[in-house]
Amino acid sequence: MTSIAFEGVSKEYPRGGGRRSLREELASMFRRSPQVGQSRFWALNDVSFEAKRGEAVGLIGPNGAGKTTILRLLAGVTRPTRGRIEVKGKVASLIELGAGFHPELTGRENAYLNGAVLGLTRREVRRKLDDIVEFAELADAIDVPVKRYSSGMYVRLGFAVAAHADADILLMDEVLSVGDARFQQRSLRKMRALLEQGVTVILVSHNLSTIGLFCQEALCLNSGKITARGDATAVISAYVNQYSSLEADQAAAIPHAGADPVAFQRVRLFNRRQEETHVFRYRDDLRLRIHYRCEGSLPSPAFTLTIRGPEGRIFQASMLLDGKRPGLIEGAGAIECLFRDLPLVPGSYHVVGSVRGEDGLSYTMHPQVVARFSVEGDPDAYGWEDPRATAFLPEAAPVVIPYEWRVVASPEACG
Amino acid sequence: MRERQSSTIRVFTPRPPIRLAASVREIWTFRELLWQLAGREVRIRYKQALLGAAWALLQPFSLMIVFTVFFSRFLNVPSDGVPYPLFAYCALLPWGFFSGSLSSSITSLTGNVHLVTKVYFPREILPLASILAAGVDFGVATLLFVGLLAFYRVPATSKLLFAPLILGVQLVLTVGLGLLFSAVNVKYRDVRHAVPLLIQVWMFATPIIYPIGIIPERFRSLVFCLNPMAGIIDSYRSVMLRGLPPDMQALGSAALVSVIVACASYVYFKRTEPVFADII
Repeated sequence: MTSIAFEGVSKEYPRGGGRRSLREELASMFRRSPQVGQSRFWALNDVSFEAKRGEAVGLIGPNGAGKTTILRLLAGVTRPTRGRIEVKGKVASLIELGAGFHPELTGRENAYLNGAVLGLTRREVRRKLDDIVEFAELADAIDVPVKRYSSGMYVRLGFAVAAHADADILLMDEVLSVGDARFQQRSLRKMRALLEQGVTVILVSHNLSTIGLFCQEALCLNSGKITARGDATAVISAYVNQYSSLEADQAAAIPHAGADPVAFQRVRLFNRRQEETHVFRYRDDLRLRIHYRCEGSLPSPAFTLTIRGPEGRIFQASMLLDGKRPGLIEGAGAIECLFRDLPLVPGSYHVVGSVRGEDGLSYTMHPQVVARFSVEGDPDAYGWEDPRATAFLPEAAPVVIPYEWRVVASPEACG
Repeated sequence: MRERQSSTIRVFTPRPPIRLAASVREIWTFRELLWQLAGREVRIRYKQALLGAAWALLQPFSLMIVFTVFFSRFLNVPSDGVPYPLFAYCALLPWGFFSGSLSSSITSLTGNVHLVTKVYFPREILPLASILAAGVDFGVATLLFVGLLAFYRVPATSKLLFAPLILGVQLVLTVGLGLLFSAVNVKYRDVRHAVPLLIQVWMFATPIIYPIGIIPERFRSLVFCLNPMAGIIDSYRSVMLRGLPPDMQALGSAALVSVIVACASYVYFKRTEPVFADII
């Protein structure tokens, strides 16, 4: 049963907001030539897709690809410029933190208001309030004005209300990355339960592994067009292959984004024997010591270090995932990250570093290449015994983990 | 799978058709939100105010005192033989509701950007909630009016039954202008500055301080056509203070103009509604 249908949907936005003062409007009325100034851009261009009831669809793509525009159109917040959208049933959306919260009101009052926005009556909210409060883990803070809430508390309450709204369609935009790891786990579990009840979930995330874990289907968008759709795993790997090299180039092109409050001043690399080096062996240790400088103070920043090769991302250490964020950082400082047993094939690699703020969304240091290193080693070290192994090296996948072949005697033995 | 799957299908197209009945039905399904937003506005207004609901009384009451002292005592403005405080308050009360509704509905859309850009609901709810919240003040201020009527021993007549009809006409005009101003303010923020000025001028152009009688007879029907509030205020005075039915010419033209204004405003609101979230 179809739950959502997009038919040839395009969405055009005026650049720069499109609002004009009355004076400008009057002035343009007296100007003879038609105004040229107002430039417009297409956030979505002829997009068609369908989602069935009980399906989880992930939306991926670079920033500005049109992911959030799709959610806003589905939520009915904005209208398509062309095309037609059909939405069956009640939509609960969590686009950005605590959509529709009023800072002066308490958590409880906001839960009622948010519930009303989602189409619940007072009585329905009252009946569900205990569940909502319990899920959001806000028993002690429910009667406190939400202006005193942390961003985590905001998103917990917002998610809890949306998840308990008896919606047929749930729209989630990146919000889950704000809560702590435990809450993310619980909300994913809750969303899975809703899926089983027949709720359709549309999930936007930059965290591809969340999409891969949660969604059966994914749409990949770029510049307002669908570039790939289908099985989530396939779409994600196509996306990674397509964009990772591009992103690496972009990252390399920004040696230092001037306005960022955090900058890495020096990055030193050490091997297992504590020698400073740029050359590592297979299964060596890679220890990065980052000397950073921070303007002012930053509460609980999230550092991410991604190891990339010519084909893109290989592995990373991300405080967004492991939650090992330092507390408050101020001024100059250093932080270390140790990768054990590098599983890399010989070649050159670079490290892309970034830092995000407490909310986990905004960058306090944009992704940029912070270090380069190479891996060298004999084919023997990898257990490559073919004499021509080095010749095939450029084709090799970047990571080698222990594996074994076994020749099975006869086809029957397979069963 | 759940049994409870709501079957409502919403279709979003570039230029949705304007259907009043469908809009009213939808607002009705979101009535809970209307109550809550109005309640929120009232609560926030009084939460951090020392005198709380007393402000609703103080506003028309202090104007009544000032007008009585300056216009009645010093300038000898006639009041149709009714005690001037009562005469002024009878007009200040509905006028306060009218102007209060308009000034709070102007920013009802632009002051709730976080709602307009993030969640769906019929946008009319926002100006309507502002008007509803102003209605609470109106209710409180009406208590004082009842007190004044008793104090001056004004007899209650059957003509009071006209009051809901007059209020109905006033509401049509208020809702119309509330929708119009809130929508225009999304596009042109000048409105926020222009409307308070308009309201001030409008108040002096309406028989609030003075009786309609001081306007020459031959201009009166023109005034009633141009300014529906003139007919509305005069009708209140007739039924409340004079024990007379409202001047049907005055109330009739006010009703006609109000309906026209409301229809035009509603169409404008619905036409600009699709782009609210994009340009707000």
